[in-house]
Amino acid sequence: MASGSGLIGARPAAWRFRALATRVRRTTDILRESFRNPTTLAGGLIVLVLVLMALFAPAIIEANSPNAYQMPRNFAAIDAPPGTDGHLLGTTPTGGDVLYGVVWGARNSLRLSLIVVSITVVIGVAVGSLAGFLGGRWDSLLMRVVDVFLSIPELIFALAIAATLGPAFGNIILALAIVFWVKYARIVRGQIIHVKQNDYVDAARVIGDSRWRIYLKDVLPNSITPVMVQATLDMGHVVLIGATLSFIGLAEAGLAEWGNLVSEGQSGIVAGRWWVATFAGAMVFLWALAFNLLGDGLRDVLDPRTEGR
Amino acid sequence: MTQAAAAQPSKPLLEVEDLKVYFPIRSGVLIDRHIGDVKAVDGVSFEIERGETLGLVGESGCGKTTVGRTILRLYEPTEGRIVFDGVDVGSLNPAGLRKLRRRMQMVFQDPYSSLNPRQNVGNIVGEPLQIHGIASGRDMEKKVAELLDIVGLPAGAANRYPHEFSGGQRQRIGLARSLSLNPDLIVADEPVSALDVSIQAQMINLLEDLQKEFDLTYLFIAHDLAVVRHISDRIAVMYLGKIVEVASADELYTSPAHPYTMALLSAVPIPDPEIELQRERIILKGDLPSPVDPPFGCRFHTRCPFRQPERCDTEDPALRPLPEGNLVACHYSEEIRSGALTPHDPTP
Repeated sequence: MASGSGLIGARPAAWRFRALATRVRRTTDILRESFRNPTTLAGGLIVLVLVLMALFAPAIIEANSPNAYQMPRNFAAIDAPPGTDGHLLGTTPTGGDVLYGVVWGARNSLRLSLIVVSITVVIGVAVGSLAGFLGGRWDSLLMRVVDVFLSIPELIFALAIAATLGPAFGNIILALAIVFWVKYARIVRGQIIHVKQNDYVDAARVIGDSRWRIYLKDVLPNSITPVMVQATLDMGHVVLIGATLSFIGLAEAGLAEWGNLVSEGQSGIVAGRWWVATFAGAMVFLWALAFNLLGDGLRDVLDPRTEGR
Repeated sequence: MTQAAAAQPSKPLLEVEDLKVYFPIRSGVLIDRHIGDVKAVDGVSFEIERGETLGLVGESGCGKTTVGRTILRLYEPTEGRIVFDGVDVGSLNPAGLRKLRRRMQMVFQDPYSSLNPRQNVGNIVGEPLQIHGIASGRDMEKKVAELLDIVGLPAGAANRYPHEFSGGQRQRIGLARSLSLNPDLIVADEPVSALDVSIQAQMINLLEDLQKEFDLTYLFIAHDLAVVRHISDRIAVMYLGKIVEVASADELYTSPAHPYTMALLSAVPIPDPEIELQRERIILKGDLPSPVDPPFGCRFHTRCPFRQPERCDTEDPALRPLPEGNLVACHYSEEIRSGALTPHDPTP
């Protein structure tokens, strides 16, 4: 989180240490309080497992070469059921290993959600800050742009962009980044307009602080919590929409990605080949559910309306 | 030159001349149309001498807070001049304003919203020192400890966060922040009205002690007349964006000249049941009129118990001196005082 320290002069070392210690303590307090709620704890644990799976994918299953994000194909074992030798979760109609798709799909999902959420948070906070902090014409102008983005349903909008750019996972990332930033812009603008009215902002002006420092030290840190909640929820949401887009064929064929696997397996479900779509579908479900539970739990603790109970 | 230097001490520290602050009301979807103004402050003039405390009283919405904030240029004046120690505050560029703000500080009403919850007290109080390059690092730590001691807080408070303190303590932190730049003038915007009564007295005494110690000049904004009387040398009474009376604290309380001041004073309970029963009270009827469209003539005529036909509705009374030294904005002060006019229901 941004703070004013280090911008002008040096703060006494003892305070800096205390400030850091307080921040750490506050964060652990928030987490401890969130995890008192069993559903939040469950969400947190599933998130932890999924993220670990994504991070250690190469240790779980050896990376496919040359492209680790493509499933290895075994043309000798097409549509093999789960339990087949060497294919614990079976194979796809094109001989792709489902277990590989599930594990490396987690890595793809983490990649997708982290990139999209970081880009959208940065753009959204920047735009929302300009609108909320500067106000006036800037506010009117930027918020009309935001309104235009918000007027198009996000799935349709992302679909249109990704389809225009052509089927590639990178294009899905780009499409989602273009669509998702507006929410953050709105949240941040609203928060800033609210925080700006506090007397401590006027107090900072009276002591001669610059606008930039007031923004960094007084306004932004007190406006950012809802963004963290929304970002957590979006970690799940982005993967859900991303899987939807790759399901309808907007990612590369054979990509180790859950939506892609569901797409490859859907035609076989009627014929009894349930495993391809089921395992990948369950992963999407788990991922979205886990981040939603975690985000909701964080909201209960961090929401300014429930703060200070 | 020598003459100017000799004249210097008698010059007031702060002069406000015909200050007007209007907040525009806008409407319209694409094009902003200016459909009116909230005339929060509408022609206010006063002076504050060095070392003096001027109390500024009036009911909510009369513009007293706006006056205080405009002096510090937290709001831009629409018209009029604010001269601080010979410098026209309204004409300063941002750099000049920053320099001047070392000498003018503010204490806020709400001790909860006036401190950033994410900064520790040391940073809150030490910030001004850093910004103006007065002290940093160890020096700053030492100065902050001194400042905290001055306002009666332990040095250990520097390490703690605002939420760990009570309202009264938070107000002391705010005071330490405003003192850190060693200012000449402090605009205190209802500094005690959010505090418990028992804490109010402590805060008032602290403000008085600091005034003596650091040679401070106060503009003390409040709605509690008892508090203002105690701390002020002179008191200005505001009604709907204008000053209606200025007098020394004692003069104002013993012989108010404006009907509004009389009404305000008669709303203060007297802790003696016999006097309280006997005295004649003036109770105002109705609400404060809208500052968007203030009444014609004297602004107080819609609620004034001494209202006279014609003149009160048509002629805006100027602030004029009375023989006793009060300034009053009423056409009939002498008649009211002498008893020639008696209160009646304001609606004829």
